[in-house]
Amino acid sequence: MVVYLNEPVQVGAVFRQAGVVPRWFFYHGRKIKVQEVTYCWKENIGQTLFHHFSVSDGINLYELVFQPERLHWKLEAIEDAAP
Amino acid sequence: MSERTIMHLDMDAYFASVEQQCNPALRGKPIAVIGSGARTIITTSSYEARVWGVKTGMTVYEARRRCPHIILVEGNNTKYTDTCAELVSVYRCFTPLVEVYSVDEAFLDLTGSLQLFGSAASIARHIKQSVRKQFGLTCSAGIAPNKLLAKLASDLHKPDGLAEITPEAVPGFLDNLPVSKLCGIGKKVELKLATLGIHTCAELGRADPMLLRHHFGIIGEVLHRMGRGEDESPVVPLESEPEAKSIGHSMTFSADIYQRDILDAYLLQLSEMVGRRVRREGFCGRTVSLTVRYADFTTFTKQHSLHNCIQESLDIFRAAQEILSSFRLQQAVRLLGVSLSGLSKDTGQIPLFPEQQRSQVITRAMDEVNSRFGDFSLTWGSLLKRYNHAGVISPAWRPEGTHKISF
Repeated sequence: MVVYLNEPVQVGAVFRQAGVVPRWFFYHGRKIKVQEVTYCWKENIGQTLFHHFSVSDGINLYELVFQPERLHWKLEAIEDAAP
Repeated sequence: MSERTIMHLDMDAYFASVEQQCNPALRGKPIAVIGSGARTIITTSSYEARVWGVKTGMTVYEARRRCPHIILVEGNNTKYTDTCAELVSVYRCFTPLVEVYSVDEAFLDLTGSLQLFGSAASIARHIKQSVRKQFGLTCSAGIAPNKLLAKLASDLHKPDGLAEITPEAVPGFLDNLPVSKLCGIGKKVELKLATLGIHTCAELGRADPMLLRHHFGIIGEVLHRMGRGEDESPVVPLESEPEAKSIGHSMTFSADIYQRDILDAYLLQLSEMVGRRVRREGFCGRTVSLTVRYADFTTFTKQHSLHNCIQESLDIFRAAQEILSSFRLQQAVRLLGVSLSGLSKDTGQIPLFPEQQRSQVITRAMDEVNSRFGDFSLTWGSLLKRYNHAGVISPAWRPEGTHKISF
């Protein structure tokens, strides 16, 4: 089941030439380590660009959204890994 | 036309594969991607679900009946269209002649690229490798002297296939191939050909062109050439695509609607969606069309041609409203569509009358706000509870230009 959160989060990420790779983030005071970036895609809303990252900690699936214009991260949604 | 080398690339179970890549828990399982509306159908199913007979276009009920443990995933059009745009960038590394045929299919003209990159098969392997590495997805490639045969070739070894039909192999390949396998021959044409005793491509190629012309009109000659594996249509890159002849949007409601005020609100939303695209592309149009689908799927389109070219959403809305008022609704409405055709480039004529000038200024201001913050950021009060379902990606969708349709 997907739970939509849309909450600002603190994210540790590596900025490489090929793009951004989130490594960990804090959710409810708990540090969640990213085991796999399963997919990423971009979205434009008006002139604002958003980078979406589907990431897994090995148990659950999370969708992180990065807004480069404001250097702002959000946790968009959490999904239980076992459907 | 001199000998060409065309490649057709077809992403395998595209939407389903993207979702399986996104969510590791879905990999290797029967899944189907569905729309977000209440009356959704199966948009794509994974290969694991296809084993159970789950197909595109099937109702969710039927899919569940065939495969009770199927996992239904709500599609995300932004994910698929952005990936398509990225895929096109990969293809463009090998040739500038890339025709985006649909969100998951593309034709590449490699004729001029072979000296740079080697054989078409090696280019196909490079592309398949890049797509797998970058997106975790697989695609099937078909190589042939034209688009018709390249599309047939990509279907030969799906999924993750690579097939080449050389010019010498064409006659043997078409010999026993049913005509229904040719892109562009649908059920009706297939049945009509069967009544003439034509079942295979070879039979179609040997048929008298005059006989085919007699039964199918001008298309008869095209069919004859298709039967011989001939297709001279060029690969048309995005920048060379002809300009749109019409711009339109439609929406299927989650429940059938009778009430005129609710229909009017949806008409306004559709008119704004059409108007925004028309203005963004610098067009104006003379003919407004309204498509209505009743609850029993009876569908009809009525149109109204105006004396002047229009591009303002409210003008499109008023014309659509006039069409809707011109007849009595026989049933509740399932789908509404609005389009503007008879398009010409907007010459930027300044309106003569103050009221029109004011309306234009307001529209420009609204467009500027919506371009900055996203569609419908600033809109009419009656659209605050607007339709918000992501529809199925239109076959006309393209990553750039007039056909770049937002959902």
